Amino acid sequence: MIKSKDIKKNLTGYAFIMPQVILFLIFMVYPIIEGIRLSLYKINYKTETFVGLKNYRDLFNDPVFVKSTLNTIIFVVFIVGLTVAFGLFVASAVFDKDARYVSFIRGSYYIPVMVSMVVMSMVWNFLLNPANGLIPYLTQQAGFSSVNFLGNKAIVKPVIIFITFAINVGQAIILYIAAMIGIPNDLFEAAEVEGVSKFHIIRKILIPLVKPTTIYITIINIIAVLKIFVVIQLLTGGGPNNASSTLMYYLYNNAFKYNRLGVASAVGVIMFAITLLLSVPQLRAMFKED
Amino acid sequence: MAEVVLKKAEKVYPNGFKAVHGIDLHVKDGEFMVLVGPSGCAKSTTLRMIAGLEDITGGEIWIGDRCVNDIPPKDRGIAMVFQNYALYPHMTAYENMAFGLKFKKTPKDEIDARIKEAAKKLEITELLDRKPKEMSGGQRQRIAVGRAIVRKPDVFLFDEPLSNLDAKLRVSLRVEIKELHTQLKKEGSTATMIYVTHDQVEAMTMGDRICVLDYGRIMQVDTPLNLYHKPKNKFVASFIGAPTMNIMETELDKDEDKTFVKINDEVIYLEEDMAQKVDSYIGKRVYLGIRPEDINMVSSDDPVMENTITGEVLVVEQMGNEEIVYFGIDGNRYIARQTPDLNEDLSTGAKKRFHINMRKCHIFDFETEENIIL
Repeated sequence: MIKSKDIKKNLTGYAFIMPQVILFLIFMVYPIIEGIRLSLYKINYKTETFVGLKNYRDLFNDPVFVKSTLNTIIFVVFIVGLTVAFGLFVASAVFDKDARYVSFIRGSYYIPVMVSMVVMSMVWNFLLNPANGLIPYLTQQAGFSSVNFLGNKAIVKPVIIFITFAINVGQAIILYIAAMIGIPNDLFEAAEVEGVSKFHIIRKILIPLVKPTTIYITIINIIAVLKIFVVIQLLTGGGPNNASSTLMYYLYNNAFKYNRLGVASAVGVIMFAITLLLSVPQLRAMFKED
Repeated sequence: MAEVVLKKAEKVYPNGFKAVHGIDLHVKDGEFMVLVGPSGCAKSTTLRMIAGLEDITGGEIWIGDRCVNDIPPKDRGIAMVFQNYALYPHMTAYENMAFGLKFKKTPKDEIDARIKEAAKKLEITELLDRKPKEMSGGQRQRIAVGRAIVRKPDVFLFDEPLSNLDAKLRVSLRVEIKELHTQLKKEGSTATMIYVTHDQVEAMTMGDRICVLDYGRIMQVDTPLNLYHKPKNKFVASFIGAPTMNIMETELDKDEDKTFVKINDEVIYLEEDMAQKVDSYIGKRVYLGIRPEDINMVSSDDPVMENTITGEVLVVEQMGNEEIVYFGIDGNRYIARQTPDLNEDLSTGAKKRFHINMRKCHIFDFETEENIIL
């Protein structure tokens, strides 16, 4: 039981966190509650009509929502999978090398992370432009037929996956290298003395020991890719024929193009629930006593 | 045969720093050799060179009848125990011990039998299912030793394995490691052990022989008692022994027939046989080395005797069975170790006379610091 004496004693502490708590309540908690409320209403400009779970039912009957959900799942699975796999591969290949070399690798992969997502998307837009982009030009020069990378239903998803992965992977590499450098060297030496091959050292010692980092990278990337929007908006606009539409993009369209605020809120609530569920293992791992 | 021979072994780092200066060392089959020295003396580097974890830039290292310079660690027939245990934190004790054997394609039954045998020997059977974080430091180090045993190596290498443990546990584990060595020898296993430590007490109590290193050079290789009683030079004399040997800078002199040194104007005579050995040093500066137990406080009731010096008591450490008396003469601090005498006034500042047993003193050349009475 908290006694009033204890509260008095900790008053300064509470006073210090108060501004953050107030901001958190106004800009995080209130919008979440309001979002949940709005998802149960049909909103027409100024009039709000309570419709219960109708917005949710409509969502699941909308093929574009289903497609956007599937696309988002595909993006999450492939982008996160690629990021973790490639991050592990690069980090485990370089973490024990000369410090200057490691810094160079870290720097090279981290530059795209530092640049704004909008700028990166525009650069890729230039590169992939079927009329005068560098990549279509090179593929043509290499003897392939002209490819519209962003306008072809079959390849637009792999292209989006690759671009997002290329922009994001630096973060994973940085985190993995930091985690691997922190592993005591004598563990690797003990394995070397015991005759364990480099491959098995990575598989049986390195990867298990950076598991907390893998969990962290996986979760933050899942959450980030769930909200993927800028790349879609700037490169494809969800097209062709919704082939690259995502949940976030669907939400944006409903909220700001079709003025269906109730439906958009329902999408937001669903995304919030998924993110919350995914955060549980991460929070557990963070609070777990080691 | 699991002899380890270092022939002019040398280690120069890429930046030009020479860590090991072409050392020669012969560790006999089944011997417990301790490498000891202060921080930075290259004892760990030498051990790592033997293990193959550090490249050797000159000379040769032989294990048994093979020159192992270009042989990777896994094929050298060694097992190593690290200071920080180096247990894989995500594996149980059993898995840690089995890990290396699995990669050597040892049959499962044999792995199991070897682990159970080692566990019995080290009394760690009940720990086999635990992960390292569920064990104490001492238990972890036992598992690390167990992991070394199950490999059945030709040579065991220990890199300061007890440094992270508390004093009491260190004492009990060092006895256990020594017992293990004896037991392995009795069983007929090759039990050559090379043990690195900076703790000279550990070195004295464990080693069949001790190799004292300083700045990448061997100062002396000998049995513990020889190192203590016949140190080759001033470094070994002052490094081995706790409390450390008293070293006094002085000058050898001679009156009619007796050789003597002076400590703060008080004359101390050398024994006859010792005097003959230092005859050529008369008139030269030397270092006089005396172990604390060879300096004894003289009771005020005792008659005035030869070879005494007067000092002022600085600090007294009561150990129960003995007392360590720190006393000062002319700004220098010396140490005497003696049986406690409760009747004596040992308060700080008390003037006392101390008798020096010159039969056991050492005299070192001022320039080379070599022991000139050996």
